[in-house]
Amino acid sequence: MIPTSEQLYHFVDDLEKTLSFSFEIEGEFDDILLCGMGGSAISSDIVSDLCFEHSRIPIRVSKYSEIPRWAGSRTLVICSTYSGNTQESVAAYEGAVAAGCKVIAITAGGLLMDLAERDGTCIIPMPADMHPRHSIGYMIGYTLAVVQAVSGCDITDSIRECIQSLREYRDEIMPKKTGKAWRMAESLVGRVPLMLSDMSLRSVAFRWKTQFNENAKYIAFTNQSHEFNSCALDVWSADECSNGYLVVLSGSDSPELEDVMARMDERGCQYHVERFDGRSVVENKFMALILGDYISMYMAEIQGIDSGPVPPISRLKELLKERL
Amino acid sequence: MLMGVDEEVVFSPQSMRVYAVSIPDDIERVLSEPVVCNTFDGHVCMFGVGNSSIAGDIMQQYLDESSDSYIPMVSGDLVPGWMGEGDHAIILSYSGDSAEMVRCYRSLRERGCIIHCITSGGELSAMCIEDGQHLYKVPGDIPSRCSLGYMLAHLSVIIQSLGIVDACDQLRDRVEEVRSYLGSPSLSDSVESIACSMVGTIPAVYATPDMLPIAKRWRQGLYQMCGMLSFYGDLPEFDHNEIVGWGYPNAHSPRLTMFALRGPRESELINIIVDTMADTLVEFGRDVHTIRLEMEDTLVRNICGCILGDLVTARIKELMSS
Repeated sequence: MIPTSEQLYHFVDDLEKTLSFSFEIEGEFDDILLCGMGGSAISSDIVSDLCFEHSRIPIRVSKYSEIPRWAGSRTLVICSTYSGNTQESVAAYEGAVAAGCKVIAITAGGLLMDLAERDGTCIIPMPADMHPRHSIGYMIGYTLAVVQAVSGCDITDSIRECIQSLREYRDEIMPKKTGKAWRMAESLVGRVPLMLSDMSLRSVAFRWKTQFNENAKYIAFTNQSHEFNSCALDVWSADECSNGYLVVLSGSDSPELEDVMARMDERGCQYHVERFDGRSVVENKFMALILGDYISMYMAEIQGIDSGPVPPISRLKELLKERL
Repeated sequence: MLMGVDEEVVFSPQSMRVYAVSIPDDIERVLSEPVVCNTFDGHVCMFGVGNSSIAGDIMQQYLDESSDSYIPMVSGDLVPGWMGEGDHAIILSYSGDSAEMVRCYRSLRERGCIIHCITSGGELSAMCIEDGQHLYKVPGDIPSRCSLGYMLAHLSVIIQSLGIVDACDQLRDRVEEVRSYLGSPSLSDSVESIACSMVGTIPAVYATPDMLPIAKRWRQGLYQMCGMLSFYGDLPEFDHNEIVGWGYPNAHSPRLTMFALRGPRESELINIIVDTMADTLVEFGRDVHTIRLEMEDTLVRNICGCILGDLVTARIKELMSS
């Protein structure tokens, strides 16, 4: 397995490699359904957000084993599971095939690969030996290529334009002890992080949460600014909640976030605001993603634990093997 | 006092109970008129944030099971790129003054969408009237979170009138089942037991997608009614990331407690996965409180689940002040 630090370092390279990947598909579609779980689903969240304001057909992310009734022959379904053995994703694949959907499988092997080969389903193979959650550079690029082929939105140029800036940003925030990621990791250890964002960064806020879960072994949560109303502010301002740590992720002009922060200031609520000032919404998303990934890895390091293994998931899988 | 201050309304446990059990009546009040059905081939999208979003979330779950078209619920102010001229947008905002929804209305109007506003008044109502768009009024003298029945009923009328599914008829047919749940002798015991198990904890309420609106509603109630820090999330996605954080000792978060809402729509696969998740968490030292909602129908289950949550939060508030 490639070490976590190496996989995080190469995220931008992985993403760049996929930009030359073009995908062609025949047919017209009414909607796109992105099926996956956990690390493989994060790419779907990010692609869905990237295309939200640009796609000419709806894109829905499903993190479940069943597909909705409306999915049919005019629905393009992308099933993503790095290992190929995630039960929910395999079940979703089977459901999509049975419903007559056009299906694409993105996987590095496993049962999904076998089923897709059997069914003659189009397969986009993933490179081997990665943590599923760190294969996100490839997953985003491949998913985006398929989505772009049918939805009419083109984000590739926007990504290409910010690749160099993303490398520079990574190099700026990553130094141990002195870099921003390490310093933020130090302030988060021993707290319950809550990432607060506007709609433009919601998928990245979710990525921070899941990376804190898996790499740092921490419980964490997310909220969008509109969910963080006056009642929430009162609760967070209270002493008994002082162990929570609010991180505001701000990626664009967001009156709601500014309003929430002004009200937090009035109440003396403690929070950290991280503003991303890239040249585009796309750049801000990826800057935020890189920072969150590094923070999570350093949180593990500060605690003296290995960010790679995820014992509760391993145990769950063991038990499921016996029961399914 | 109640208008336009959605999130700051404080009300007593007694009045909260009255509002909660009146949801079936609120639904029937709206659905007393017959619905004229048309056919529509374009896109339909729902928008809402905060308390007002719950009705849209429930409707999306129902439509996922019953509709041949994808009708999403967007919780935020951004408008999807595919919404264009002649498409139908449904905006849910109790006060009608939510900044996100006002901005959303303006974007939709610029695109030439047909807009339906479900609101008690405010700027949305004024714009809707001025622009000749469709306005569905809810009473202005109730707290925003107590407008769920009205919001859901108006939404079902719009969905049926667009020829998508017979949501209005389905909802009308299910009101008695909700009333029957409210009259069940075991309800007060369930409320007491759940409320007692939540007091003193930081509850995190989890549910499968078909019941996620309930989890969100519970979390809102715990914040708004009880001033309790609380969270919500979805199953079985939890098993793929969050379980790791919950599985470690994390001495800084001992009061965080998981409450899992479970229902009869779980497939055998999901049933085994969620059972196994609970067993794994117990092995790692975390208890899981399971709350079962056995109603077969998704609309009924979600409405009853929301009412149960409202009653639980009312009881927690009493317990906390005694």
